[in-house]
Amino acid sequence: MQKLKFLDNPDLRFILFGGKGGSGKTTSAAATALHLSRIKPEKKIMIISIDPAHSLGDSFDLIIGNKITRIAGNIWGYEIDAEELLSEYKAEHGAIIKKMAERGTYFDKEDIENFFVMSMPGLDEVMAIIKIANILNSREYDVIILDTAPTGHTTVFLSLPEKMLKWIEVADMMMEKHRYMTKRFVGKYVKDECDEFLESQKKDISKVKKLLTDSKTTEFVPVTIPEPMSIYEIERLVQLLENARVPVNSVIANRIIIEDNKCHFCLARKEEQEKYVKEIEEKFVSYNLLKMPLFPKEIRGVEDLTLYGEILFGEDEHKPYLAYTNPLVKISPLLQGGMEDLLEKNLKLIIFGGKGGVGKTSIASAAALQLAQHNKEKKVLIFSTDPVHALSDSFDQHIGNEPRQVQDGPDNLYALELDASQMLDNLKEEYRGDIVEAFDKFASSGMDIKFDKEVMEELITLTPPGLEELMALKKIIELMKISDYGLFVMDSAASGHLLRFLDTPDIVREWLKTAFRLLLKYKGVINLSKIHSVESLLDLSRDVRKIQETLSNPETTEFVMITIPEEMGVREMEDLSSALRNLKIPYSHTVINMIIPLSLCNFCTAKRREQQKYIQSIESKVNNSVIYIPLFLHGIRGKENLNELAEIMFSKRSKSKLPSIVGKRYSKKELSKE
Amino acid sequence: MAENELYGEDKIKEELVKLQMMLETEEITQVQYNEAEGILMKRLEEGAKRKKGED
Repeated sequence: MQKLKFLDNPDLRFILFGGKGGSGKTTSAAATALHLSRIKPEKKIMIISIDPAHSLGDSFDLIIGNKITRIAGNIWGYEIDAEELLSEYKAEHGAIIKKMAERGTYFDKEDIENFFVMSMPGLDEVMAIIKIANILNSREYDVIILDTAPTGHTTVFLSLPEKMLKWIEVADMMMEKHRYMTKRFVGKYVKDECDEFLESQKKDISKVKKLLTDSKTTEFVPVTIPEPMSIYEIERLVQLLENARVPVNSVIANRIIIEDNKCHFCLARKEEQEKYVKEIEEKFVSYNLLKMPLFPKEIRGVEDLTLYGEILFGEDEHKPYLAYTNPLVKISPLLQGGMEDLLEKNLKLIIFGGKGGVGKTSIASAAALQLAQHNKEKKVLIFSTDPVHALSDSFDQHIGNEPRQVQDGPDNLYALELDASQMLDNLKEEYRGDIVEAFDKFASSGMDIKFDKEVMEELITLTPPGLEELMALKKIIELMKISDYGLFVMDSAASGHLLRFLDTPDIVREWLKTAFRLLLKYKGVINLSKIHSVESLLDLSRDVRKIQETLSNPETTEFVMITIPEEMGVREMEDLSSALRNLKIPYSHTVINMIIPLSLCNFCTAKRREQQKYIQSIESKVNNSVIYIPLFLHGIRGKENLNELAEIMFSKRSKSKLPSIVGKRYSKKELSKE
Repeated sequence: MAENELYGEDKIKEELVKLQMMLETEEITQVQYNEAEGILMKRLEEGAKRKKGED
């Protein structure tokens, strides 16, 4: 079936943009907002970001933040702070929730409340979707554009309405006991504010669900770039969207090199890109494919975004968009820092982190390879916690959810792609069994606790997304405890996700404390030593304490920051470093990746000149060793590529191999293919 | 009955779990925990001895 032209649907009310970090989804979302505002001046347009690392404000070059802010004319912006929403929600509905919890179970309200809503990590995202539902339902805005978080996160987010309905179901079950008792003793049951609350929540979520799948009003726009990992992620995302019946008509292929000059570098990159552009064309043949060029500068501010929008909406394909002049600039040499000290240290854990799309997986893989080659006596395990795994691509082999040896790598190098959701399912099964057992014992003592049992069983099936991070953490603790790996290299998820992962130990400890307080309170009723999960919880609590100690110990742990010389890269780096400081995680290396080589090419020079500004900004902000990595002419895949990258990262001496980024320019002969 | 309260293996194990939880919730310090754990372990040993004596 022929798909509709890009966003050419007069009834569209909800447009979502999603893709891998760094693919330009925020830019596309922002440009779309501006474009729609121009062609539909009578409509009120709202653009919302749910990426924990917001960049909407950066894109418009103004401050938006966690409140509805007028951007221009008929456009409003909102960077949702899900945590704050959760506290607002608590304040607004806390009393009703307490009441339901109190009615529903044998436990007292304070206890159950903590489990039911307050301390479970991840519920904040459910709140974000409720907020969006409310904005949509209010009809105050005609069109809502949503800039989603990086792909892995988006897939979790899309499952939230389902999870929220489950939550309501549990709450309803809690109420059932009260309704039953009232009917039995009073003779009839009259609905009250709790019932109304549940009904309104259910209605809201059903509306979101309906809206997400309504092809009349909704469209999801996946954004990709011609790089293998981005294509792979988008392919999976599109599949997921199609399965969930979320309408997809168009796919944006961004950052396509269209420069047709004589620059050796531009041409080589263009040639490298061509096969991926072809792959995109083949894979998304049934969709409108919108190709966007790579610009010589960042798209920032209303003027840039408007231009971007004009190209995106096919208004002016031939508009000259390369605004560069005077390519002759002085660029001071970069003093390569090197990370060879990491090879000599007796570390236990090295975490590679940064914004989505900065090359974390390649750099972590190259580092793991080098570390394993250098420390032959140590077993090295590289693992990823991103819901979208890229290690398999990086090592050019299938990896999966069990540690496996890296083929053609050193004997002591292993890799693992953690599937946290699978682990979470297993844990839930384990606990469900325990609860049934504990309550059966109760029941045999003659107490009527049928409702409690059902409620507790169902409570366990609620899965806030943050629990998956906990599972990943738990698995690593286990591996540290029982395996003989000497060094763990972590390829972390995009920064928003990573921040939550790093916060997880604190959250989990709090959650466990609540659980223990509850259990201590009911110690007379249940024999604590008979419940298997109590032992698991105690183990978990001790292990989490241990990982907190490991994370903050400079003898055992190092964090390597990866960034790119762009505004958003610098901002996210700052956020992440301040979080690292708060969490006392040792951090002494910063990698600046994807630096454009110096050349006589106008396009490259314009881009590099812009990068230089950010390189200096990064240098002034970090007081540790800075490692500069050039933008490669090709994608980094397989051992040979990874070794090439590792050589740059781990040796200051390799500087001579990199004339392109440290000072020397390409010669005219090198530049020209003639 | 009172003997069972003091020296019963199940009872002591439950006390131990309780103690561990109190340590994790920071209701007691590590020193207090060690002290109480020592007492419980002694009771456990004593219980085992008594049981052996009975057999």
